[in-house]
Amino acid sequence: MRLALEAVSLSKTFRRWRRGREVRALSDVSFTVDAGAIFGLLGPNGAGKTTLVKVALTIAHADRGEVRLLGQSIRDRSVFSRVGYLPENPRFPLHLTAWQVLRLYGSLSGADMTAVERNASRWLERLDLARWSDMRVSKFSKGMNERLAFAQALVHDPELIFLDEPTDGLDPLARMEVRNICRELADQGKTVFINSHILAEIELICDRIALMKSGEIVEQGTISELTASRGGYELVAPAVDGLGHWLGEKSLTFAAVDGHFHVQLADRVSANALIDALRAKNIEIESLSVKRRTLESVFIERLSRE
Amino acid sequence: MTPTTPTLAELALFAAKIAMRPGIFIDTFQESFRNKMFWFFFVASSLVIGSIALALNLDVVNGVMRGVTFLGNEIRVRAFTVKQWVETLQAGLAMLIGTIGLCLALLATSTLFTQMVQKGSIDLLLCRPLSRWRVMTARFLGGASIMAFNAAYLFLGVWFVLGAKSRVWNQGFAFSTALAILGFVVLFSVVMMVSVITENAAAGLLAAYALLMFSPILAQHERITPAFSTELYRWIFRSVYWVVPKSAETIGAMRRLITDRPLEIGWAAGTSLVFALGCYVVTMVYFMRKDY
Repeated sequence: MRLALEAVSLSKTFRRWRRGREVRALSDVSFTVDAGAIFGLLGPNGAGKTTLVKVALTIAHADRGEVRLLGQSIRDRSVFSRVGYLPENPRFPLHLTAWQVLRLYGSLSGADMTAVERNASRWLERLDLARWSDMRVSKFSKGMNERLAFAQALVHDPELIFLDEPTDGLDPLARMEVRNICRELADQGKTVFINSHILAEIELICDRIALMKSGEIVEQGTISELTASRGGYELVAPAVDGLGHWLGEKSLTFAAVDGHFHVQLADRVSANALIDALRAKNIEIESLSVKRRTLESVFIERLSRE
Repeated sequence: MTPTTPTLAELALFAAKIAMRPGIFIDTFQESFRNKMFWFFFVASSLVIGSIALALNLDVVNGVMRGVTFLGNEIRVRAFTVKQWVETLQAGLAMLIGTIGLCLALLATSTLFTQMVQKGSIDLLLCRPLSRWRVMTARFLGGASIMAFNAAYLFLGVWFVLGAKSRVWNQGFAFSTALAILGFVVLFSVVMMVSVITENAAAGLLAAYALLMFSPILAQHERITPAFSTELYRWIFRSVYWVVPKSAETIGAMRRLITDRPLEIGWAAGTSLVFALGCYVVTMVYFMRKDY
């Protein structure tokens, strides 16, 4: 599998000389992102997500470690002509119109200007900004600015796109459009790297995610890998006489719903033991299901653990 | 992951690369055209040129000034030759431009660097296939070019209008444009260094103004230093004089160039340029290592 991003042992410490303080933003971070995937980086504020993206884009410098984008070391700056970036709180030159903004950043990315202008028209139309293409960005609302920043990240037709809080300040329709565009880009073989703390967004669009805490990647995988088998099992059986009392004696957690007991089981071993015991009592089992946790519960559990 | 400083060969190729990818350079121009201070400077220059062209009348008899009227009011002049009168006027204008004009030019361009390095704006530049020194150098050259354009417009405009009116084509005044640009570029490099490091335009401007204000005092070091009580103080004062830009000498050289006296600017221009180069190198080293 071709890799869009490869981070090896990245470390970064911010030092405030005058106050003698040190903040460890990245601690030996290593991970990869496959080409053509939508990858989500999750973590609480101050986890090091933005620092990680900035190091990958050379906006900040790592103390140690190496980053390769699209198979090329970031020391070779030519790779950035194939990379797009939507920063958090983007700020454009206020004297420019939306059209001029896209032309400026397209040209700085070294793209062919005919292609840049064609893409600029396309993205302004798609992101509902075409009507305001000749308006100065100083008059833009936060949502319009955010949509323009998204267009700016795509105007030079990059293969790898970093989006830092891409739906921040957008209305629900615009959020959906951003999600649709991300999916389309991935379908075209482009890689989308999303940095966010909005779990619902990540859950909806990402193929793989990584959880970050205190400068370290603490978990990574597909959403189903991260959420599956983590909530244990739920067994449903008819609420026959005496079963409630028996379950209570076994210290099992259960609830009575519509004439059935819903029994919560921590793992596969206890699920099998209960099945054997119920079958020995000649009680029929209605259903047994793997309880999937939400990404939110995984996030809270994993990141609150010391 | 530590960035490298540019080599001379890279610097030499930079002008050609600007021509190929002029984004930041042109954007600096556009930003300045939208900047009201820039237009104020431009309009003020136009007013100076326009008032000389339309409201100044010279009464010349046999190559000697008999009288001058400005906006219809008679200005009494001694029996100068036309050449002497034009040189005196040009020297006065050069002094004015070299001080007030320079202050206005620095004020008009002082925010160029802080606007570029502010959060959200710098990220959009540093993620491009451009090295950091190119980003900053393009910004510096953009700002310097705008003011070079304005200085050339004012000096050459005044030179042309006065020449057409008096038939005295004093090349020294036209050439003094280069000294005005030198004076600006040197102090502009101070604005760049201080405002990039402090991320504060006012700090950069104040640093440049302080150097401009103290320059005439430092220029008198030969008269002042004997008054110091110890050799150490004399050495410190002389060292400061040699290190910092010599704006007062540059303005004085403009006057000498206009009045056709020996220029004697080599050492002052040289040490000022070395100072500007020092500011440039410090800015580049800081900017290339800085985490944004």
